[in-house]
Amino acid sequence: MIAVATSDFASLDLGSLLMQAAQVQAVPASSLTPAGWTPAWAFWILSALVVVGAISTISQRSLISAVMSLVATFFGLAGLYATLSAHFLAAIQVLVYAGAIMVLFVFVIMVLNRDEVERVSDRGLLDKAIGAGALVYLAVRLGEVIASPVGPVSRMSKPAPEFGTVAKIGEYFFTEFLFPFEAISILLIIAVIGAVVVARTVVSRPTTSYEVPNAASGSAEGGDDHAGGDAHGAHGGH
Amino acid sequence: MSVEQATDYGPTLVAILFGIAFSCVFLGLAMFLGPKRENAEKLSPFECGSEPIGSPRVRFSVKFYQVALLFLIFDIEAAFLYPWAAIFRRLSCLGTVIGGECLGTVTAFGFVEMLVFMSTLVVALAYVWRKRAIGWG
Amino acid sequence: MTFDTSDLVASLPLLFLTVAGIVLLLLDAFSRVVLVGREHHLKLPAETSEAVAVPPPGSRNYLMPVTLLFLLGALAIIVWQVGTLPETSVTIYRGMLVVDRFGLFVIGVCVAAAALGIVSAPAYMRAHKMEFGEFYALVVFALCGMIILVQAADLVSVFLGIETMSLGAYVLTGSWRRSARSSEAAMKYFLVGAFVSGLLVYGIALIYGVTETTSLIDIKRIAMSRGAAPLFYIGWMLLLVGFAFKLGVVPFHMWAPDTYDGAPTPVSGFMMSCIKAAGFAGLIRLLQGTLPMLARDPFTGWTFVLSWLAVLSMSLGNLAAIKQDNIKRMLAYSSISHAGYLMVGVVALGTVGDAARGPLLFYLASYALTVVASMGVVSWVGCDERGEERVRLSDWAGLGKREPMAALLMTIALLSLGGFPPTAGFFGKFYLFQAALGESKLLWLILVAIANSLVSVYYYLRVITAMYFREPAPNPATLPIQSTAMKVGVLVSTLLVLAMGMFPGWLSALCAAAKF
Repeated sequence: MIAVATSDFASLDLGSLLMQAAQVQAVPASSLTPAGWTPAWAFWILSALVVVGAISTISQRSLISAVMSLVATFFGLAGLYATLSAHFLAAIQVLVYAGAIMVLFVFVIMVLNRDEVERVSDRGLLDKAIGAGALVYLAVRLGEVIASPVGPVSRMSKPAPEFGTVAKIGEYFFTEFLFPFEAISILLIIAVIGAVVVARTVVSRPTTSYEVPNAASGSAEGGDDHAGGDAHGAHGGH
Repeated sequence: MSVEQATDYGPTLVAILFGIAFSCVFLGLAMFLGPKRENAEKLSPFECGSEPIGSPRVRFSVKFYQVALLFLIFDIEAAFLYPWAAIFRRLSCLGTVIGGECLGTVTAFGFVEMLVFMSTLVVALAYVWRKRAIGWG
Repeated sequence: MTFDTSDLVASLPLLFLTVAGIVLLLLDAFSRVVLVGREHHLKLPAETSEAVAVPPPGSRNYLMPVTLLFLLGALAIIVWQVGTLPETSVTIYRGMLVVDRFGLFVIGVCVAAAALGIVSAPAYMRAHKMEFGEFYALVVFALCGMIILVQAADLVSVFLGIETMSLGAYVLTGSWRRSARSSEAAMKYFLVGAFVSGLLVYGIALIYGVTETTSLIDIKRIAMSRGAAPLFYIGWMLLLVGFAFKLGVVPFHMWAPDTYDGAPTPVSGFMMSCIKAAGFAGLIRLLQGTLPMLARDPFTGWTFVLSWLAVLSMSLGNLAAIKQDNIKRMLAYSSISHAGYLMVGVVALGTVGDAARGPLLFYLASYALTVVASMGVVSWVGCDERGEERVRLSDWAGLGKREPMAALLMTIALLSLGGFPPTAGFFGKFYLFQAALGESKLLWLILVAIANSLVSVYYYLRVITAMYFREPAPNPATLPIQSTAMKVGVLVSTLLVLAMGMFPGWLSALCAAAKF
């Protein structure tokens, strides 16, 4: 909510933020890529795509348009990863985020089926002031970090030529980070259980009184009381 | 995979640009060249020839969401297979690998580590299967 | 590529519980299942009715004893490991996990609290018509996440542990599908949790950017030698905020009351005891184990930041708890204030050093057991005929006559939460404040904590007077849950709370021995 409310501030300040961001990023974009073909304009185009897509995501009225803007953002991010020689990550970004997760988003929108929302209206002056203050603080801090002589970038050593390739990622996954890789299977199995448990349809039981209004409204809504009775009958059998 | 191949996104870029240009050209052609004779009948929503009844905004079953979520989870799992396949020979070899041939003892290490991961997922799949979460019943 | 098989033995509790979770999941999936088909859900159109696989009521009750056996087995393994552990800590899985007495102690507390908590789950779920067999597998998998977090020696493991633990908790919170409040609780918890995961990853990324490593040992070495860069500060501040969210510390507590109140009661108990214990253990490992050199800076050191979090958490938690008429919600706010007391302990760790770790662990263990006991009684008191929980103060009036045993056990648990002797809570606070007094700078913090304990006595005693001295309301249609397992579970945890209060020596010796 706060992000939405302050988005207009963000766009106002975008120019200066971009200038600052460029000071950090223009260096690695040209120096870190071993083949050296990614020019600075690749960074500019891709980051413009990311920023425009992100702003469009939070300001579109139609939810589906917002999701499509997010797809554009994800493609831009994938491109940025590629220029930073994170090749496997770039591919996964397109496959998983721009593909699978966006499908999920669309399904969520279809399941929720909300009407097109109004833009979050401008709230009180206090909220705006807090948002502006936080943004100024962020900009100042960011500027400090970027202007500090021992910047973050200079400390990072240049990645090896095979950095970010599928094979190199595999080497990390299956030797040094083997334990986290195997432990992810626990995380994924919980996710599977969660998908089944949380999306499970509520099953009515005929024993208590408080199900009655639910069943009644269901049959009234559908104009078909056969289905509700069916469920009760099936359940009463054991 | 050599470094040159890994970092050369030129063909990808060309493909993307070609896709964008192609769709722009044909959308533009349709917009400028196509005749526009609009009438009320043409602008009304089309639904297999019959009159649209009720709101198009019906709520979808949560089942769609569930299937999408399960797809996503198994998709992520599949994503882990690519890097594994890329270095499978090296993982299973105690010596050096030259041209895909192992010059030392071949072990089951690479196989077993993916087997452990995959068997957990097979458990998840069996669970989903038994709970009738995949399939419309 | 080789693999050290001795690592497997060193991480036996984790492996055992993972296998246990898988076995429980398969037991649930492959026991008898019936299909309930074609019924209406909310306002779905008629044609989208679905068949759902549902176990017959009561058919999954045997899973609880099986889970209990697994948890006791894990406890036995932990005890065996503590006995055979070398003096120095052992790093396993290429520096991803570390096995030491500190970690094993906290894991033991988590497993024990979970074991005492799940015994009330079958009866609770039956009474509230929310039975589902996955409950036990989820609890066990969440415990696996806690083990990873508590034993983490690498930021990757820290994050993975937190995520695994939290994901299990989100699902458990929302598992009471019929209750709108449970769904709301899960939604809030999940949204905040997902946001916080972003903060944690961002913090980890910044720290990695500066140090080029995620290993906690290497981070400590680099931060010692190079000093901390500005980005490094932002990185660990983000981590700190992430942990504060997960632990429900003011001002990052917004989700906590609704979540603890809306979740099924055994789940609330599980979250308040186990997740809090594991989260604090992870925080201690991160702050005192990795960043001790950043503790004492006047305004940017973590003791300064945490002491304010502690003051806010204690005071606001207590003030909000006073107003509550709902006992479960009151216990949720009380949990926020207890997170504040525990933060005092973490501050003491930063200033006094290792001497404060034993008392902090004692407090953690005593709080975990007390919460399990009190939440067990909340389950015990039961529901009305509609399946709604009876958690209002007026519902509890006259409980001393209706259910004398429940009232007695709740009284002991509340006295322990309030810090009265001869309960564990008294010695928890006593040891903690005593350790913190080793540094005179912390005197003000201890005075705030003591003032807060005095305030908290008011709302704990209010429940006790309601149970014994108030006439029951005219509509006493409360159906207490009659379950031997639940009663034994509450009884055992209360007896442990009493035992820790009467003979605190053995536990505090154990805590003092729990070194990194």
